[in-house]
Amino acid sequence: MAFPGSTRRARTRAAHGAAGGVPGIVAALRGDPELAERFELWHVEPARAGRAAPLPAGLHPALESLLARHGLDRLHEHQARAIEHALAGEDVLIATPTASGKTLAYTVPVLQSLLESDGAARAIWMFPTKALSQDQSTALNKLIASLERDWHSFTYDGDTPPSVRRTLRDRGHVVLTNPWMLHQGILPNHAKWASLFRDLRYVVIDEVHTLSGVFGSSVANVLRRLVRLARHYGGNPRFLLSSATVRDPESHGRNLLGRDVRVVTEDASPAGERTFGVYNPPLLNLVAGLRANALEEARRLAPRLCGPAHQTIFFCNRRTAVDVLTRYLKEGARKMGLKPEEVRGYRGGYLPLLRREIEAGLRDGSVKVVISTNALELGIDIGRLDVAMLVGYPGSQAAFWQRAGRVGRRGGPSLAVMIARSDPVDQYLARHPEHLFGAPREALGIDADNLVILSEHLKCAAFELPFLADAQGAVGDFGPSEHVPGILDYLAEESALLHRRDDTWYWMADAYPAQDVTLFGNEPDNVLVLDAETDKAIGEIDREGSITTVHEGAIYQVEGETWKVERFDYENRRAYAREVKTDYFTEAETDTEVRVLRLEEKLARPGDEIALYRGEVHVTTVATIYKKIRFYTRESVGAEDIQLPPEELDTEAFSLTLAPETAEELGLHGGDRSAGWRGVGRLLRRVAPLWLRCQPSDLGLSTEIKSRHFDRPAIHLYDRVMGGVGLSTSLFRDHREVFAAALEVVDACPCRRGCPACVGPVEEVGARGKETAGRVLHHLVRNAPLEPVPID
Amino acid sequence: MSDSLRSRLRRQRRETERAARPLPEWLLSRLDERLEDADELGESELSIDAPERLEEEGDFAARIESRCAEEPHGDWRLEEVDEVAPDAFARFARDASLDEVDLRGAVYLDIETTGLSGGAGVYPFLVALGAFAGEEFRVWQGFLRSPDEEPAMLAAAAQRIGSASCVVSFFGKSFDRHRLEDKMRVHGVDPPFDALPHLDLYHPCARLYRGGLPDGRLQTMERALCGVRREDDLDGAHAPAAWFDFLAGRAHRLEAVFRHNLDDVLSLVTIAAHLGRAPHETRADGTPLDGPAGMRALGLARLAVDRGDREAALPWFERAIERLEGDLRSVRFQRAEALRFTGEPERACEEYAALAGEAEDELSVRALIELAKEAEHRERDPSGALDRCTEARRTAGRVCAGRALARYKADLDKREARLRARLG
Repeated sequence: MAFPGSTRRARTRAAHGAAGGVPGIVAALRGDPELAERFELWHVEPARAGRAAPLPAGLHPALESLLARHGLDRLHEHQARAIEHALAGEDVLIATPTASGKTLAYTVPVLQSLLESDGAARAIWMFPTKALSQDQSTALNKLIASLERDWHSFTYDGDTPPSVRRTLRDRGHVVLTNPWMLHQGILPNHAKWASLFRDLRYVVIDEVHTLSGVFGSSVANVLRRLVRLARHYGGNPRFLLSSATVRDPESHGRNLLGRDVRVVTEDASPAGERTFGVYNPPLLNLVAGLRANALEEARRLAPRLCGPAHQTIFFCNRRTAVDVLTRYLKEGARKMGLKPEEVRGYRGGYLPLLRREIEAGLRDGSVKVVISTNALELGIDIGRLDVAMLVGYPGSQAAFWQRAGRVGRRGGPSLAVMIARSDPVDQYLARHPEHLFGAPREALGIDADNLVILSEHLKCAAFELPFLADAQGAVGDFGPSEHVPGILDYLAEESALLHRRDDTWYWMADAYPAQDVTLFGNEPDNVLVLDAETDKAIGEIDREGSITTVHEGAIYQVEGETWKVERFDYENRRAYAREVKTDYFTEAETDTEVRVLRLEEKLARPGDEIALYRGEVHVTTVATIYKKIRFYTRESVGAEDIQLPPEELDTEAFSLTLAPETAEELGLHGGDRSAGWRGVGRLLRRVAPLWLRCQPSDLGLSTEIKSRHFDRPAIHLYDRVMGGVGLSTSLFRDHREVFAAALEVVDACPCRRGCPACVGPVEEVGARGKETAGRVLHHLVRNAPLEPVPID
Repeated sequence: MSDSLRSRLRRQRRETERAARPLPEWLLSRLDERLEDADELGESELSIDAPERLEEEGDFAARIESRCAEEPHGDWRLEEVDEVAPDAFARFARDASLDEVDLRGAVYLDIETTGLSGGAGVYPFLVALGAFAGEEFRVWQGFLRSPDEEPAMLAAAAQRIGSASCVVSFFGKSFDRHRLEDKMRVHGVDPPFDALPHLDLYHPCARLYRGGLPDGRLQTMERALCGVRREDDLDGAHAPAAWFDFLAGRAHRLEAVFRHNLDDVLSLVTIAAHLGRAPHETRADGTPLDGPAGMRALGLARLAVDRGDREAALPWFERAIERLEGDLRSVRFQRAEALRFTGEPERACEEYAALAGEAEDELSVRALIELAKEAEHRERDPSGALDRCTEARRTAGRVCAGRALARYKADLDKREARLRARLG
């Protein structure tokens, strides 16, 4: 828990106590003539004094003295304001950077409610990932214990053994859980949680910026169900939300909860001087524009960033990168004045106990270097560190700031360095680093009334409690959508899942709907990696990643140890590996194909000069080969086939095609110029979420210069979830607006030949990419509307 | 509503119908037959009448069936519950609160629900509570004519259950109780179960008879133990569909559900009466109990061992060996163990030697190890013990593998080292 008091504890080898410390590192990097030209930018944010505020009035004396014991007789101003709003009965969203004390701001109201009610009040804390809650539970229990009451918080998730669930249900005051458990475990069985719902004062949701798109829309419906049940038992919970800094937090909160929330955005915590550097690896091949490998550069820079007197965190975007870099840095530890065990890897697939141990090591300072995926991006408490290195741009501004926000102790200086990869987006940012430091531009889309998602959750909600129509036939307790009664009637009359009697719909089927309804997030459907000798688990990996990491022959790495996968039992989600000594690791490649199954609707100009389709597609992702790559030299020492069934997705798609003559006229040819067509696709995928209120990652994209199905250039945008949730249908309907918006972006963008903000960086779309894409879009927008055409 | 949503919903419906929901493992063993598809039901065998004799009880309805306590259900009379051995159930069910259980004052509980999954969307639409009243046994069957009658019906059921001295059910500790408790909480009715002893006949039945019968279901037990033959019984798995049909205006299968539910409750009484006589192995009139007697003897032996009474276990092992057929090596091994700890180590050793001599399997290894222990500690014959160890090691090498082999080896390593040290 990022509890301000806890970051004050003495550290014997704290950064600013050591010779030079962070300023010394910065000075050395900036003063090195060899590095000077590789750092594209140095950006310094001066130290900032915090604004403190007294404790809000009316806190319970026991809570005041608890805070005093933690040295918190004064708070940061934003904490005090958030607490005041919460105590006044408002829903609150705190959108401030990592480690600005958000946890305290929602812990205080919860503890206050417990004290005021003499232990009767209940709270739910929900975390959008599984890893978070254990850590928070421990910290929260410590706090509660210091109140010396017989109160408890506990984690209720898939790892909670059934044998203790009942005890936990009966004794827990604060239930820490995740959306999946709420959706499939707690809500459908609400009777077992009757006292929780009856006395539910607060629902705390952490990291709400991760709740967007299809996943966020699903969670918004889970929250509707939760509120409905609480009201049934007489509870009326308030929401306390926390988030990274995002664009328009007011809308995000309202979309998530269906009501206005009070937003607190100003970070009033003190900060030391923060230095940011953007590093571009040297050009290896001037003609091809090929730069040195970012991971290798990270290894080379590591000795300058790591040391016994401070803590450094490396962020990689891929699991393999974490494991390879961990191995490198462990092997090079001595040269950095470190013991190998002071260097640790960290990622989601590590087993919980190992993760807990590393987190503790980071907090108490015994771990000096940690190499992580985004697993440490969210609010797991590891205290604040001193130096961060981002190996590659994490894909969004929010994630960039979450990662950079891991460093910077109270008042102490910190350093964050981002290494650009050869990737076009990274290269663009290397040239235009000001993009990183501006206001957040990425919108968080939520559409809780998406009809597919809504009807799925209406089934779940009807299972939980009957629905009642009012005198006008409307249903008042499941959002504003006018379709609710119609969907319920359909589920009653056609699906035979509900039974309507007068003005009430009852669930009336021998089925457990939550089991079949997915939230579309990264669901815990993991593959377990087992030691083939002992059957002991050594790690786990999500289903999507499994086909490229634990296929037969893969080298699976845990904290620098290498294991060779002997057998991958795909059906049963088990991979069996044996520890080996190798000098190589493996990297797998995948291939994605979109096959049109059935077209349902078509809009076109005469002769199909331009044609749009809506239909069903089959998307196949298959792992094709893996390469064996030698550590350090990165030379390829062989490649082999991967024999695994493809990952299949049956979904809905929106397809755009051009007649070959039109393509010719617009300057779309094969080779370099076809990059312009890809640019159009990327741009559509980027602007569509504004209409669909989803995330770009909810849409899959495939562009073909000569489609096998249509025998002409085609762009397919498909729902990236099984069965589809109607995104491409909306896209088909709103195509004119989407095309126009895309054109406007291209026309308004000041870049000359493409950038990540429009069609994509020039490295990706080619020298004429932007021009070609602009021409295509003009052509799509300019002419008369398309006419419906029967499907032939 | 758009067409695409309509077709999408239609598709979901097909999927829901196709994909049978996975059931918890623990239910499967009990319910194998209940998994059939409802469509396979042969309707010709079923009543086509709506349920009759429903009495209004405020906001819901119930049917009351009375049986004379002298009346038989299968081969047993209901009143035979008076003849049970007093401490039988505490022993069988391993629950001290069932000591001196009063089967006359108990409520016999069985419910029909709209699903086995649990959760708030499952309706206990028929709740049967049987109780003795003087010379009668009365079964109250609370029924939901509509889902909105649930609160009133459950309140009445809670009151009836709460006024009994204990609850008797079959698998009810794991199922019926929780379905009722959950829905009672939803409606703000205080569940009555915490204060009452609960005799769940499923577990004692399984402990005594499971190995001797094809499965552990109520219908299997009543047939084998009490001679119950049901006619035109409705498969319990079809009960949900019968109620759904009734709500949709087709009551044709509901009468069969009432009868099925009533038969279940009557069988609770006679199975309890049977189990209560198991320590005597006879009914009160001296006729022997039905059911697989060999398994019963073995079950009683094991229960005795579990409570640390090897003395009592011994005769039951003897009987089990007399009665059972087939491979009895493991039972003989258990008997030898009982002998060893009841002052007859010589007889135990004879048995171990026979087990080791007549076959070569894992049990031979274990017998040899037991012989080594006896030689070392009782006979004070370290070299004899060492010989046994060598033999055990050789046999283990031939018949065991993997972890089992490793375990025996580790055990033998330690034992042999100690023996060698003693021999100098």
